[in-house]
Amino acid sequence: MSGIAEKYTSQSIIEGQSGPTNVPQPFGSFPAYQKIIDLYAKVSNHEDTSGELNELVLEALKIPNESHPKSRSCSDTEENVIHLEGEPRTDEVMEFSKFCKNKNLIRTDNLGNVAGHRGYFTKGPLSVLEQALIKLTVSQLQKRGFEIISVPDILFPHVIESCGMATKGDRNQVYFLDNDQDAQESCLSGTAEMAIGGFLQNSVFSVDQLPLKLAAVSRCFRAETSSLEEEGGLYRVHYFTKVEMFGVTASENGNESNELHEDFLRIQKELFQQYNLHYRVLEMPPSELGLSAHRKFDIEAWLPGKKMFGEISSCSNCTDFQSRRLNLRYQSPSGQLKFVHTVNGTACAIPRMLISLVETHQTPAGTVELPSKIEEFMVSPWSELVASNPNIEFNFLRTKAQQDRVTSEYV
Amino acid sequence: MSSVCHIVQLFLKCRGSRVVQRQMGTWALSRLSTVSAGRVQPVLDIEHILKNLELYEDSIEKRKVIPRPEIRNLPKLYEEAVALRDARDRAQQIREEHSLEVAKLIRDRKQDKQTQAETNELKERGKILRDELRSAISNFNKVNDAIIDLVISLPNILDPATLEINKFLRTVDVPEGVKSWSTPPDLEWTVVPGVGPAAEFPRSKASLLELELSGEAQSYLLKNKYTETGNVDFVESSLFDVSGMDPNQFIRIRESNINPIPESHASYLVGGASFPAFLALFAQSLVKNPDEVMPIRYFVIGRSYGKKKYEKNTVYQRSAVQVFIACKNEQEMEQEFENLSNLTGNFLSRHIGTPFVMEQVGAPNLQNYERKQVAFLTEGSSKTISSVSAIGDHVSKRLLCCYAGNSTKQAKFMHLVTGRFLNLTDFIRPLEVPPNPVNNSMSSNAYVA
Repeated sequence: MSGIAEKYTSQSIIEGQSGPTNVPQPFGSFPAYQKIIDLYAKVSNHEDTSGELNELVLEALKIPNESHPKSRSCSDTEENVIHLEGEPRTDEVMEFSKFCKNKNLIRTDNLGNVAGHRGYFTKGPLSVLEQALIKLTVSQLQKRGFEIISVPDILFPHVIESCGMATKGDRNQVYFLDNDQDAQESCLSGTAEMAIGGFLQNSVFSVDQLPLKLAAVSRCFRAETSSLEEEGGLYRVHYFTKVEMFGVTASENGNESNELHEDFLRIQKELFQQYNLHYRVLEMPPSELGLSAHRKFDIEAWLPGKKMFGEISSCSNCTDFQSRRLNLRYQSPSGQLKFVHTVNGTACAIPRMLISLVETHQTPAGTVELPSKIEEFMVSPWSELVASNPNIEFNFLRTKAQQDRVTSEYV
Repeated sequence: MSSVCHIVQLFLKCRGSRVVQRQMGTWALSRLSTVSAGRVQPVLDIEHILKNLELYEDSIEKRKVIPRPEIRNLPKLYEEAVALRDARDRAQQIREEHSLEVAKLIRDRKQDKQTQAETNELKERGKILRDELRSAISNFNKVNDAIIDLVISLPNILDPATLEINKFLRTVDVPEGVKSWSTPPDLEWTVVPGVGPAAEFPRSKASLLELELSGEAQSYLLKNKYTETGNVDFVESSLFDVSGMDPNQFIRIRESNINPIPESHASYLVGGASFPAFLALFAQSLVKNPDEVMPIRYFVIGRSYGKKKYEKNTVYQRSAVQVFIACKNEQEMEQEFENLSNLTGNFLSRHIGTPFVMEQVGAPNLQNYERKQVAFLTEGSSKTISSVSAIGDHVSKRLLCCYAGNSTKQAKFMHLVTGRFLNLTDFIRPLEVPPNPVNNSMSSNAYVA
């Protein structure tokens, strides 16, 4: 019997106790679960035909993770702020896209024909800042006991689904490779969490090896779009670089993953404090947890140019949701094989971090004074990089008439 | 004429494993029409090709392009096209004049029988002229299409230094006093089946080395007056359509819930550390202040993705440092090519401390848009860790990467250089790990049943 089916069809749940899951209805009353209850009953009574056990497993796989009590107590309609750091800038600050375009540090327009929707280029100090953030974050994570790993960006769909992300259906964010006909389907990874999960699949740890903490720098690809004006520019893009934390814990006393989850949050807070950002930490309600998370914190930084809070990081405890699907286990001191718990969190998502840093540390003189911790990792100071960045004046040749006008001597 | 067109169409069907379909129609001589407003109209510069037929033929020969484009037919084809265009224009003019005549007659309102008969005759004549015009347009389009398809598929001319085979240039040792590079013996580099088609996991030291080396490259290039960029990872098929670059070496992508996308709007994953990604920045654009900013020297630290040529189902992913230089003319391009080659060599031998072998890459191993390439190989192995290529204005003309000319309002086309400054993944990968792991099928269902 599947470890998954067993967990979610245990007697107490079947008897219809108030749903422990992210679905806001008692388990017994949710229509899809009735099917699982019926299948479970059949299989338990040895009425199984060959297909029903598999069907039970496949249905059970769709059940979201249980939610943490604190998550369940959160309001769906109001933000649940559990921590506030720093003070917001109240003076006038130029919005990131406008500031960067004025200084020729970014290009986001007129790229649709050649690079697709939401394509972007960064230049000069913005690009150097990206590398500085990566190096700084990796260095900080190493000091905190993380092992650094490089990951592939192209994965098989089952790896992504095992981490709780849908690859099919209307609302998924996944890009598929248009492979040669007889090749196996592959997707682009939305976060290093997926690849690390795949790397660890079918592993058995000894309890001494846990907690295991891994970190990866990867390119993330997401098909999500937004028509909101405030989410234009670099705020929501289809590809970006991210430094991700991934943790694996035992589950002896049931609290190990909660502790690691809190630890990841503490690391995130320490990182962002160094950047002198004004930010808040939110406890997320079940409706925001997705399929895999048991509990999730989001960190939102104040973006003074946009005059809004924007999510710069999140941190989830997935308990045994992913490990049951990836077959990640450990040998307990008693010799039993148990499923591990997994935790993941964003250490640095580059585009939003660029926005928050440039807006937060913008000076009235029109430059950016970065915190010293970041400056240490910049190859040259921001102002020098701005000065050496070629100020290219482009004319985009949009129409056939414009193109013909400048190329007529060749035709 | 028809046999020439037929040969051209046949050539296109045979090239590669997939027929390369030009997505845009044609309207005027050597001019593509656009499917949607705002797309790039390439400059095919047939005049230049006609003046340099021998160079193009030499290029086709040395690159061993199969099937071989019959470029010798181009002059005759072009002559034919010009004649057919003139015939079309004449037919158009006659028809317009005729239409005016008819309109005038009707306006005069002469209603007698004789005038009515004249009117009818003129209308009949109008129909004949209309059919003749359609025929003239069709005849012209056939030949024009053939010319355009032939020209787009032509490779770049070759630099005189490029031979038919790779040529050893020199070995460069690590100078005295410079600490030699040695790959750490205990690098962890895991290939995991069942995760993805190119699933490599460099860990700890191996992963950190990639960051360290990219940092070294970054500092080095910034000190040598290069500007860092962050590039797009996707490009649209229109970039390949007109440039003649082969999209089959890149990975086409789609969103799972989008209906099959027409070829004309297909997206490809190329990675920021690639030549096409840089082209997207300059395509269809005119630099207004070239004297202030050119040559433009950019570099990026990022990924590149692709498919192995001629090998089905093999995708790869690399971390790399890619360089791109936009120059005003050929002379400047040669200078920058030389400078970048020296810079790359110095970085490898004096900065990283690795000896290398330098090779002039043979024509069959070049991309069809490259004029020449020097490759830097690690000594004693066949790993190419760096390369520098000269492109000229071959791609710039087609994608309108241009800059304002001095005193005229006419654009001039950029002469391009590009280079893989350092292939980080291949440089660090231990020798015993094969590059490009073969497409791994899922070995077992990871779900516990």
